[in-house]
Amino acid sequence: MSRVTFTLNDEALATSLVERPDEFDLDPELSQSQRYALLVAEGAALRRGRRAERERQAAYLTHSADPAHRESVDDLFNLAVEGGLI
Amino acid sequence: MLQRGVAYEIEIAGRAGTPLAVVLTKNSWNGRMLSAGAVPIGPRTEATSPFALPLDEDPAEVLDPSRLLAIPQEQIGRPVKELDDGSLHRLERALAELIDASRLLAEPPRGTRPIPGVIDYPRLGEIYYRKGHRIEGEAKRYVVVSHDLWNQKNITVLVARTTTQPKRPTDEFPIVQDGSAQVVCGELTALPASALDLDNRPQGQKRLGLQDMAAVARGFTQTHLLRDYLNPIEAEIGRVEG
Repeated sequence: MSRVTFTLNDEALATSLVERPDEFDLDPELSQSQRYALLVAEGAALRRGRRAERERQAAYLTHSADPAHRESVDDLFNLAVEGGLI
Repeated sequence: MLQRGVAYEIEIAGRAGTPLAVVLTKNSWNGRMLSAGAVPIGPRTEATSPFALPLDEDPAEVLDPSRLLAIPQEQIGRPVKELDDGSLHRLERALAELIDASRLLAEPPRGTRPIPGVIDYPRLGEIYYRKGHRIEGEAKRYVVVSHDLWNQKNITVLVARTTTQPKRPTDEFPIVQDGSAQVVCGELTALPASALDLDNRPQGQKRLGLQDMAAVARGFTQTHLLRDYLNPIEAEIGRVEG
């Protein structure tokens, strides 16, 4: 396993997961380091997916700046305030 | 950027005192959207909901997910304290219960039997306009997502807005109504039921079916990180990174 390809967060994630193989349906025959490598790789893949999602969402940001949408968000919150929800 | 699991001061014009609310939407949502989903902290003496959770460090105060609000980020002020992870997890579970996640996210999804009696309340899956409310001529639509045992007995409901403008990614904006609309799951919010127009419903499809509601519930697991319903590795990423 090449550690330089993973971020610190990936390693922290795997460290917190590697002691719980039952939760992830990992082969019990795998060594601790093999489990670790699998979890780091899967965590990194998920994270790449999340980053890609965020990039795809850039278009939605433009919509969020739309005054009608802003007014709608503000208005709903004001209604909740008037209704005593906060 | 707002951090999930942290209680912030909420700035409300004309209000004496500054209420606190714990942000529940995930950090990546908070970093790019106008509003954040947050649960107000209130005095236990005013809480009537069975979903209200006493705070560990101060049992006189509670978090009530039935009052979850989509709060404009401009009104969210300084951070005050961080909720411990156990309390945050209990809050997620209480919200999941309120939106009937265990039924909707079962394989296959399970509905509930209609509640006997007069139906004079908005029901799970039904779509409504706001009463007397249009913005630039457009009437926004909301789908009811709290379960009917709650809706029948309470004066508030949880709703999420639908949109016909295409959005990505579809896990946070699940596609419903045969592809004609998407639900903005990150804007899940409580509203007084009286704000919904029960008499003037949208034409055509007035209620989402079971599969659509299952997709909406999955959307909430993503936007509000309901960890019990996520892939364990994804849930752990959520716990570590928000």
